[in-house]
Amino acid sequence: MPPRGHSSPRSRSDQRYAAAFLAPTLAILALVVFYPLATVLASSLRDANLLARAGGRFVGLGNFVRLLTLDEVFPTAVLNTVIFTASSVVGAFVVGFALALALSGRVPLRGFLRGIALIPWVIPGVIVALLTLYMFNGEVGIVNFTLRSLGLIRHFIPWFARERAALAALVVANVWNQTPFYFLMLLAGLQTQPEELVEAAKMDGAGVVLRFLNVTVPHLKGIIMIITALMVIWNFNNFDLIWATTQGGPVDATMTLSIYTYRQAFLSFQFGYSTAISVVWLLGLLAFSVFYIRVMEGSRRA
Amino acid sequence: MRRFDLDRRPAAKRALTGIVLALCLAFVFFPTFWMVSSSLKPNRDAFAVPPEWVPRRATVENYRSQLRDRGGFLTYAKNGFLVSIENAIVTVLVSIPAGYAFAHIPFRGKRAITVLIIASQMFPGVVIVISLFSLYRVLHLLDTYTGLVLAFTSFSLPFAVWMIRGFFETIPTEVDEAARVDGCNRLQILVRIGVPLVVPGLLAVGLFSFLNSWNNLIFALSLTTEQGMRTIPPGFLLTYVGEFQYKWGDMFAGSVLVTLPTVAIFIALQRFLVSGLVAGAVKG
Repeated sequence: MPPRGHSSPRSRSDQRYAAAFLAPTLAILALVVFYPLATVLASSLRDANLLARAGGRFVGLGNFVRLLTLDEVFPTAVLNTVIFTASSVVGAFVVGFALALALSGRVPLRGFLRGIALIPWVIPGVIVALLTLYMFNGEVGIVNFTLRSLGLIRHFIPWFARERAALAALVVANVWNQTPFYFLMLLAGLQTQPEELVEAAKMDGAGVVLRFLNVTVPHLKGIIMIITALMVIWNFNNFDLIWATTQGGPVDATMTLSIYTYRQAFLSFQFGYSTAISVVWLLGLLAFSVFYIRVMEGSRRA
Repeated sequence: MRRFDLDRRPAAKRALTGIVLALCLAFVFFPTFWMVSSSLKPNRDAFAVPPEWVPRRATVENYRSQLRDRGGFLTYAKNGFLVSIENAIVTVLVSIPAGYAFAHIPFRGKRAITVLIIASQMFPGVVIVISLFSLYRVLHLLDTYTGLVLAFTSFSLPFAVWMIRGFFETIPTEVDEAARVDGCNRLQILVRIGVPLVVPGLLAVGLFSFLNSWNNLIFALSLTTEQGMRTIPPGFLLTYVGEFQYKWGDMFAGSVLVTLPTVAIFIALQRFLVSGLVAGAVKG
């Protein structure tokens, strides 16, 4: 970085090249990210309709007041979003970590098994959803048959007609879909784990569990924190799986912030109101990011 | 602690590893197996009670029916392919100079623009699309390839700039200096020296952009209204969760056909993406 106030001909030329090199990227992002966001912020104060050309009446904080005091679906959507996100992240972390540990050692067919374990992550979201609909189908779905033959249920569960069952089915499908991401990243991390540390711990008589907690987990901490942050944000924003299966039903049982926003905009055409939901949603994401960055910086200093 | 100390009981340890591994693999692998198995069943067998684990009357009829374009499969695939390839090209071309600037050129405001790029990756597609829809209606970009390509850059471009910056950072700045002494300007350095050194990385980013566009539902669903303009995800959704919900066989044959290229691309890319992301995590 050149010192401020002192601009040599070279740093001026650098400045010009940097501007020219960044211009196309910034122009495109301005059109498809920042302009839409600015519109969202502005429209949250209006009662705009999606299909009307005009921007609607200015209503001040009316949308927000309605959202936070009168709307009965909104708290459900927030709660469902949190439940969906938390259980998906925890589930995918546990299964992904177990797989990574198991497949980092010497196992027959290791390369082949690793390859297979990655497939769910690459399957397009819509196809994950179609597969979920089929496997959790109440009459012919394989999930019900398997659970019954294991003696875990006596009667078939109509997964997508019952409120709790629907959310649970979606979480299971989502965990399945995202496990490979944790698996892949943790496996890569495990491979960079210095052998000497593990050996030294072994010499000190540390068992599997102690070695895991005192050597492996600290080594992977950086990776775990980053991918958990990514996963929380992705799941918080999930649209594909829920929209392509339940669209928020039955009776709002799988209604999340993204589904609720989308329904308000594209089914009720209440553009202004949907942007107000978006603003609250974005504030939630922002709060999470700030909190998370604090935690990460704190843990690095410690 | 002693109870968990399985090291002294290698057999028990191996058995435990084996069971955990088997359960996790069954969980991860079974649905994929089920998709392939169901795609090979005649449609009425997809409703068999109890379900057939392995198709008894295996057939490729479902695949044939997809390739004969019943239900619009080929149309969706063609749209998806064209839009995704265009997106990959635009994304890579635009992010080359930007990635280079971040990695090699000192300039004022770098920190602020970095934050801008990273933040733009975080915004939910739903939030962007509700207002992009109104903008596109005014600009007549609904139901156009251009519109979809642009909309897809909202997620592919920030990621690409970031990855490509990482690839350029592996080139030492001394290389730039040497070229400058020889009288090259920044553009010449980028085109003649920088780009040839990061070609594999550019390819990886391009393929990844392709993959994400090919799989995208939210933009493709909301910004197209004509059936002839749909890509695979909205096409499948509107066909099989609406009109033909009972056609499981066809649906899964289509699913396998759509998933194959994504699996192939991903296997080719795996190493690049993982090393990029892990390096980022380690460096912080």
